[in-house]
Amino acid sequence: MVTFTFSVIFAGLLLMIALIDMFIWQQSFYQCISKLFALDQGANEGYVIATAAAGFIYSIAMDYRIRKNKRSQQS
Amino acid sequence: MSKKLVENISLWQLAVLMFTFEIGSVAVVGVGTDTKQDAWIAVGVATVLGAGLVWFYVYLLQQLPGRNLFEMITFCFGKWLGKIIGLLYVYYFLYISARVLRDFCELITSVIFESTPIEVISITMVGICAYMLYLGLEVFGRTGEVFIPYVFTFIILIGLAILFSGEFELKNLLPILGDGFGPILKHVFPRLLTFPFGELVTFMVIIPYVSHFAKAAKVSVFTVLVSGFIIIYGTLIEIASLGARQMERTVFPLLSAAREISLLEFIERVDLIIVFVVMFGIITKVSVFLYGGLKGLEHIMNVPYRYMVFPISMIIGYIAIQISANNAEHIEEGIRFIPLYMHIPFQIIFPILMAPLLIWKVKKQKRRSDANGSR
Repeated sequence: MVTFTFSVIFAGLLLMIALIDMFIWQQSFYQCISKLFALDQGANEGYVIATAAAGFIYSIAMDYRIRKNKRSQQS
Repeated sequence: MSKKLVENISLWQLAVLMFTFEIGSVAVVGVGTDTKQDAWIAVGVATVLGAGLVWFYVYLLQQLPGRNLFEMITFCFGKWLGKIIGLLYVYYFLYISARVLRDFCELITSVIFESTPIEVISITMVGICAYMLYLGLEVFGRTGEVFIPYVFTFIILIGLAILFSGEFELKNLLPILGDGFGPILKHVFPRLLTFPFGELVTFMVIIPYVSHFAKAAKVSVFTVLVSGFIIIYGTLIEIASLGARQMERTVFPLLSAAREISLLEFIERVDLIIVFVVMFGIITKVSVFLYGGLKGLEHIMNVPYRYMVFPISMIIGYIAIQISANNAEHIEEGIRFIPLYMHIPFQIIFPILMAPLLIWKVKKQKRRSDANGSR
């Protein structure tokens, strides 16, 4: 459930940013989305991408722990 | 009827969190700059309206004691519609949390750490917020309690230091109401009312956890009035030291005003004190919004919020960078889109629409329980 929550929030917020950009800067949806995923040269976006990825891995680990705890309680 | 709550904060802790929340972003970007030398009047009007808005939020919470905003939404709209509306609020809280974080990152990278990548500041700050929230609401409240004397003293001292430096020009405040009351009212609604006062809608997630809930309304209104007074004080400092025109052009007005301080040609560069105030305010603000979002997710997904603190915080750190390409774009979005299409629906329209439904449902429930009791 934590991984699912992570994915829903991540995708939802990116979609929200793209829609706001579309509205304000009068660009197409494709342009706005591709701008979000494009890595600017010289920028350090790698840092935040790495932490977001760490958050995703952590959520998978958390789900595994929750499932393990549930199984041990059942048995 | 009311659910048992585990975490509790005192009324004083609530007041401290509200106060620092209010002055957080305001100390960074300043408010009311469009109304020029009358900005302090605009802030005063917005403060009174903001106090009324906060009273309304607490009034809604008093209808269902012990339940937060998300539980209230589910009570009014049922399980599935309640979850959808709750999820919209979660997105709103998390998005604003990322925006506030970006405000601070821009300030730090353009004023203090010019060579440090903005991404590093973003990750570090959101890491602090995540750790504090992981430890719980009580720790969050106590952190506020520890730092509030410094914050309050520093703000008062900055004003006095500007006065003694001879930078405080009272003539900059004139003419008072030169363009009449119209521009002030235009600026108060929607911009000043929604930022920073309407943002207190997030406290609808925290107020139910206050130990003396019955006094929460009085304390909240009083805190809004005090923080409004401090914002007026800060705005007066900005106008009197920079002048209305320069204040309008400056990106970080309070910081620029603090840079003017030079006491005895010895005490200088006290703008770092403002950075401390801003840093604490932003940590509180990001954490409150993040907590609001996490509590919403806890209610919707039925997973304890502590499991989600780290992953969601990392998303906030990422979104704060992706939200806009540069500061100019970030501010433009904050002026043109956010107040009208995000703040007003979530802070004003939705609670007003929910109020009659909530009152009607509570009355219906009471009648039913009375009838059951008489049988």
